[in-house]
Amino acid sequence: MEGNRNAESLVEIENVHKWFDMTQGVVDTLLGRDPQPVRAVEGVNLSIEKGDIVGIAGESGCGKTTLGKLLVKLYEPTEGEIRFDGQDISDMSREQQREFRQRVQMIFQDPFESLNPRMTVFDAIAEPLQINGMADSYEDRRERVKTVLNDVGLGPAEVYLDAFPSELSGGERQRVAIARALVVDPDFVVADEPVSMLDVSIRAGVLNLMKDLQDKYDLTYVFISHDLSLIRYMCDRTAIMYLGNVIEQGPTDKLIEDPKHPYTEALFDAVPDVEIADERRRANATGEVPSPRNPPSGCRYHPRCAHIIPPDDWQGSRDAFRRAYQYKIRLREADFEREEFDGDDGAERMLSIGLALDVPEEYRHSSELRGTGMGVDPSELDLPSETESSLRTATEKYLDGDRESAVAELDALRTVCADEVPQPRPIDERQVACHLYDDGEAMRTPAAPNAE
Amino acid sequence: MTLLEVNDLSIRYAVEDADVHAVDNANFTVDSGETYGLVGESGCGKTTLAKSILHLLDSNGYIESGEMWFDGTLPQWEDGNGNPRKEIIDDDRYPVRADGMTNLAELSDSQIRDIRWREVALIPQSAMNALNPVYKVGDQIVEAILRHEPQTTKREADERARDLLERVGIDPERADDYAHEFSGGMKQRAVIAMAMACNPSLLIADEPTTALDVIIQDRILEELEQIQEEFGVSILVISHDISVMAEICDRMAVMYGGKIMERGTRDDIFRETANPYTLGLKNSFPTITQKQQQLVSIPGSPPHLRDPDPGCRFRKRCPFAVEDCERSHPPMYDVASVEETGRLQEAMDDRRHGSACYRTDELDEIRTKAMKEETWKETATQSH
Repeated sequence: MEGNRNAESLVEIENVHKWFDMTQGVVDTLLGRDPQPVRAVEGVNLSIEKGDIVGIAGESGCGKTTLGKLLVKLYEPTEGEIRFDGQDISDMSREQQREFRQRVQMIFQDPFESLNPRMTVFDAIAEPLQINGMADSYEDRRERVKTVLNDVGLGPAEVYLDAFPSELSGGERQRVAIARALVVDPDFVVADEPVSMLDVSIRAGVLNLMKDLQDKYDLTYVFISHDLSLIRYMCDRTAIMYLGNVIEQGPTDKLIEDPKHPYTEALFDAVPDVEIADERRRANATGEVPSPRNPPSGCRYHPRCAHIIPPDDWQGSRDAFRRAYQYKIRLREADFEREEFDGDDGAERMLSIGLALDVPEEYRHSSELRGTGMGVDPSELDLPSETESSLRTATEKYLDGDRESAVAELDALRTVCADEVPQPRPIDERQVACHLYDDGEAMRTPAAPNAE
Repeated sequence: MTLLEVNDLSIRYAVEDADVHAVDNANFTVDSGETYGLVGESGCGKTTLAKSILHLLDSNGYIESGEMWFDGTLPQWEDGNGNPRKEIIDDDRYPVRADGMTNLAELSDSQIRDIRWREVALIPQSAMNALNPVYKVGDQIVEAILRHEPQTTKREADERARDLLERVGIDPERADDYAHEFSGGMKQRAVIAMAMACNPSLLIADEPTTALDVIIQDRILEELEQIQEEFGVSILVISHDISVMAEICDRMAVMYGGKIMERGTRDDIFRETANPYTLGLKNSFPTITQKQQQLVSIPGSPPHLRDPDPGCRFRKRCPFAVEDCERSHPPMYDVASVEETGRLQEAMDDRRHGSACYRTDELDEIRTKAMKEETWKETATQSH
């Protein structure tokens, strides 16, 4: 991170954690269980430079909204430090806090919820002025509100001043919400999914408005969105989050055109596009986002990753390692029901089903595609013979009810991705937290089994 | 082959003293084995239209006029081959016409129940919440099969349920799990499996991926494509997301304010775009692959549909509106023949590229102007 910092950065986020629900329920206390907090944000480092629009993207539950709320001090970090203009925002005097609350504003997702239905547009926009003691007389406030209304495209302002939110359309409401944020002339605005509740034909207007206002008000934005097309349109720089971690950050165009982290790659592959291409490549990721209460060890993404790293002495293909390793995880988590696999061919069936990967068709193994059901022929995978036999032994042990020694049998299936948390490394103008880049620019072998 | 033919369909909601014209004079045709899309913004009538096919409108909604001819009929009207019997066709009391199509709009509530699931199945908008939390997922599929095919044994139904789950990529042993033990994507797949339980010929998918994260959305879109290939089922997809539509639909209709504004193949809509609304919608939609040109929004906001005036529904936001647009909503013109002959010619065939716009004969000019940002900044009421 060190190289990234310079005098221009407005916000610096350093090793920030936010854990929720740290208290223990009665039942847990009685049973002597440790509390399992939700790890919404874990060890995030990010610096936001003056005049940038920084995107925070990721799937639901990745911690992007929590991070946004930390930035405006709606939450306090559990650990770590956020500095705004050099000042730690957790350690401010009253006067500094007052100034912070004027300089930093937030725009929320839902303009149907974020405006008080009983306040007129004028009251709603003038309220922050009063709170911050910025315009003393009614006349001053009225003039200031009129100016801002015109700036956000709600003109002539007189038409809107005395309107209630219920009389406005969604797009107009979001413009009022933006006006309310801008009326105090802030430096830094966090916008959390600002257009996701708006209709497509209206969205572009609000987005363009935000861009125009950036110049006019000299703003720095954080733009939080799950919609990667919007991120591409709006943001100079982007941070991709997964389960509380920033896994890749850098210039938006770089990230999209040449994603380095396997998760970034999957995320962008999954976006359908209006431009009709012949065939889009689908996302090569298995499963879904696990619970942030009990996240995977090491790299949070490794159980779903297409490029999981085999040990140095691995003799088979990467694809075979990915399957074998996922099988080990499933044994450990007791994901197979033993009753389903009784009978003579039980072990063979379980192995065949367990080694299959739940990925789009283009990434499946040829023996997976041939079969009618789910399942793969282990002998056709590029597995080292000793691995194949320990997979069989493990399966039998598992079916005998000895899960622990079944997992122990597969002890040789280890990966650095599960053992060590990857540290962000600078690659090609960006930061990537992935073990593939531990030695600088990594050689990436595509995990396409059908190419065999 | 035609599976569903919707003619002049109008749907109203009775609200206090006025009617909301949710769908007005809609015409379109869905062929066997294709994916047809209804795309539009919220309030355009797309969901209302789809729900009306199965008589699932809210209690104040009703079909004002129009027909929905469907290739399939009630079991008690069928002969041995699954076609309607001759005496049913000949008898005017039954809504079955000579080519064997049945008018779903005229069926009673009890009759439409024999069409649901068996012939037309629905994947509801919040499919994630469509599963019953206190029944095992497999049992819910079994129940659907037994309800609609009473001659099936419990055992057969159970086997079919497991088979269906496996086909949508869920381990069959998970049939004994409850919905809360499923992840979001698995619930969505289970709902798809359930919709396919009685092997329907039409699947209505209402915003099938809207609440899903992008990687799961990707998998569900693949799933729908595969289901279609495997079962040859037609899919009627409803979505506001034109990028999803561009990917999965063979043909589609673009709706605005209860009207179909443009319809045609995917290429017609995206490459030969003819209607000013569709042009505006495309301008306002960001794409991920291209380094972005300026997005342009359509000025104004969608109309309310209470007792709408007779003019074009889009004219108040349309930079190309002329006097004619005030008088009546334009009919659907045949884009290709207008371009060929230079004269406005109404579309005779639902399958051809059609656009509801009086200025379809000035397409080149409109397309060029629509690309420019300043076009959409002029006040829409201005006419030239």
